Amino acid sequence: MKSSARFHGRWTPFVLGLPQLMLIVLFFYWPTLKGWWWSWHLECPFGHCSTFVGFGNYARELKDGSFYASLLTTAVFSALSVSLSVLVALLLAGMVELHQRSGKLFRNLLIWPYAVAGSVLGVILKVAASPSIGLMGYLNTLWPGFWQPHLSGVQAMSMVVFAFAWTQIPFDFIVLVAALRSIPTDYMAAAAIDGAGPLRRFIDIQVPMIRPQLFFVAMINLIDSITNSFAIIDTMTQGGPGGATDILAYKIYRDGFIGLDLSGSSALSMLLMLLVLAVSAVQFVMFERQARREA
Amino acid sequence: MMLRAAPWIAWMLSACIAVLPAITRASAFDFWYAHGGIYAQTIDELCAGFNQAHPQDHVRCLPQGTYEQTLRKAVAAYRAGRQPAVVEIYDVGTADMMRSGAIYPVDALMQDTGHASDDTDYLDSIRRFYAMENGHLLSQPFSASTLVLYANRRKLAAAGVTRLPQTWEDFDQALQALKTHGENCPAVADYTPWKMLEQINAVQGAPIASAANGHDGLQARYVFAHGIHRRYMHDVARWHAQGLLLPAILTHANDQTLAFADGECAMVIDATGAYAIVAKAGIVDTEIGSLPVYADTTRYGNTIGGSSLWVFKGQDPSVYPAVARFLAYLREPKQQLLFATRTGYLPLTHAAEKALASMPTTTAPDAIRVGLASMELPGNTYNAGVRLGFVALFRLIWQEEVQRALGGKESMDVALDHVQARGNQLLERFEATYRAAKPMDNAP
Repeated sequence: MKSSARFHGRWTPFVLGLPQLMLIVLFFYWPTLKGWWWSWHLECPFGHCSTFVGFGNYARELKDGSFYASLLTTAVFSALSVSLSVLVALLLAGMVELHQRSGKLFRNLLIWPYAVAGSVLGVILKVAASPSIGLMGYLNTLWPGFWQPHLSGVQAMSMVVFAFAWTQIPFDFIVLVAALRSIPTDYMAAAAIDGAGPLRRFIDIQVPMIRPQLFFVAMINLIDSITNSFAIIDTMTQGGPGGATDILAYKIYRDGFIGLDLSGSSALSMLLMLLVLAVSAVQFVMFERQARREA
Repeated sequence: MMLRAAPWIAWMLSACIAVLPAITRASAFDFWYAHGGIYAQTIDELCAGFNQAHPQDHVRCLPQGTYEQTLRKAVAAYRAGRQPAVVEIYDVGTADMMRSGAIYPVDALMQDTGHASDDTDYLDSIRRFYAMENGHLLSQPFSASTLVLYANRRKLAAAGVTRLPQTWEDFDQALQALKTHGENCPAVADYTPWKMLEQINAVQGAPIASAANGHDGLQARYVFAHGIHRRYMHDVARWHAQGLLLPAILTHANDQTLAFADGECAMVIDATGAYAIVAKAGIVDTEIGSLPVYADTTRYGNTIGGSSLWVFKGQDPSVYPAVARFLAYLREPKQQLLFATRTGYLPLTHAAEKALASMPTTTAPDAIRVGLASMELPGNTYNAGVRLGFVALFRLIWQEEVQRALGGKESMDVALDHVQARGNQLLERFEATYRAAKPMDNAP
């Protein structure tokens, strides 16, 4: 048996990668190209007419107040949900590490929610957060008119932030638990001998040692919150009330798929892609710097 | 490796080929519709009836989800060259469909295949809703509905309201009386523009957009923000603030039709098509009246909402005679009445209306009777619905701004000004998109 981990020949690796490549071409590159093309045209839905308008679609979106409102909503949503998911995951991971025997059980239990699709969770939480029949609706029997996510943008936003953070926590948790376990036990033991309690060790040793992983999960969450939060928004608020949760990804769907505004939503998609590319570039640069520092 | 896969590939190929004859049978075609529940059951029954009556033809009736989803799928299917022969498209899709260059106009199809098509047989308000400037009908009206007032007779009587409100002033008093009597939900609404803008303005004969609400062409712009709509929305905001007109989300049913049907709310302004749900629940002793108007104004005929059937180009030529037979079948008074009496959607032609009138009152739903009566009043330029572009987006904008107003983020006046301004940007773009389009080619 050969132990070489290389494929022979020029074509074998290519052929093995082909199915995945084809999927990416079909579901990413091709739609991206098409969207790029449409973003420079005024496009009729049924495709029989198409007028080149240059920057027209972009200029219109960049002049439109609802674009900036949506951008701000996206920023608020991303910042809040990323902070919440990373903080909660870090807290859970830290606590699981404290008690080795029960830790094993909780490690498994806390990963399970990862298997629940965003749209399913959205439907469940929407019922739970219903102002009339949900758990939160109970608050209205105590203080009438307190819980009104259909009118209050702040409440609706907190609802979707909670839901989206929920979908992210299990992944963050897995990564952070693994990171915490990779910290040499000597450090922790030394600190303990010096009299540092669990909280002090957590703040002064564990958190600084897993900073790269924290940064990694935050970045993944951030990109996910921009591109992958659609299901939660669609099932829970449809961007409402009054556009308070109308993040860019949802606005693109609304304009393009409900409104059949193919040109405008294509231009928005291109802008969103630029945004995601920028975030990814920041992540890349930071990791490079980190790697160089470690080397 | 390749050798082992060969039998599988051969098997799959032969399976595909085996299915082919069924797909390409000359007179078989697809009909995509946009309903669920009891509505879908009735449509399936109509399809089965057609297939039985016309053994040489075969229609496959396939549900495609909501109106929005069906239009979206139709667009995608047409772009991919796999469109169905017939598709049900909701009213607001009319402006796009008629300019799509993708359709075989129904009146041309009927003429080409030798069917008598007398468009004047359609009820006036239905024909005007769908007719082109030259009076032609490019699609066949299918499910038509109009707004009526549903009231819970027992709750109204208990609160001392003996007569169904005819005016918004009466409606307001009835709401107050119900509230004073301890009713938690005097009326319920889902706060959608079809009900609060399009239908209300039609029955008041008030313009929504210039150029005859868009019927006269692409140059139309919205003009509703300072008229009767503002007056109505101020009342709506007041009713909302006083807890007289509950948003559907605050009811247990979480849906305005169900919240009335289960007896939770005393009144609802809803489509005649909602009758099927109210009747099927059978919980409430329901009295139905026409949509109220303001006391000091003229009442015009109600307009409709709903859908029409469009025929796509690009099918095998031998299919179109079968499609025409299917459309003619659906237009028979008997089939219209089957659909109408089950669902509360309206009969479409005078012949069907007459047949309905001769039926015993127990089988003809009240909602239809009241709806038809309210549509027969005289009309003006503005009570034939809207024919505008990007209406689906416009409706979302209306909801967004009105939610902001109800949530106290901005005043109702500012909200309506925003709706109008943002709506006009959509209309400008719609005009620019289609101005450049080459003239339509309507050959199949």
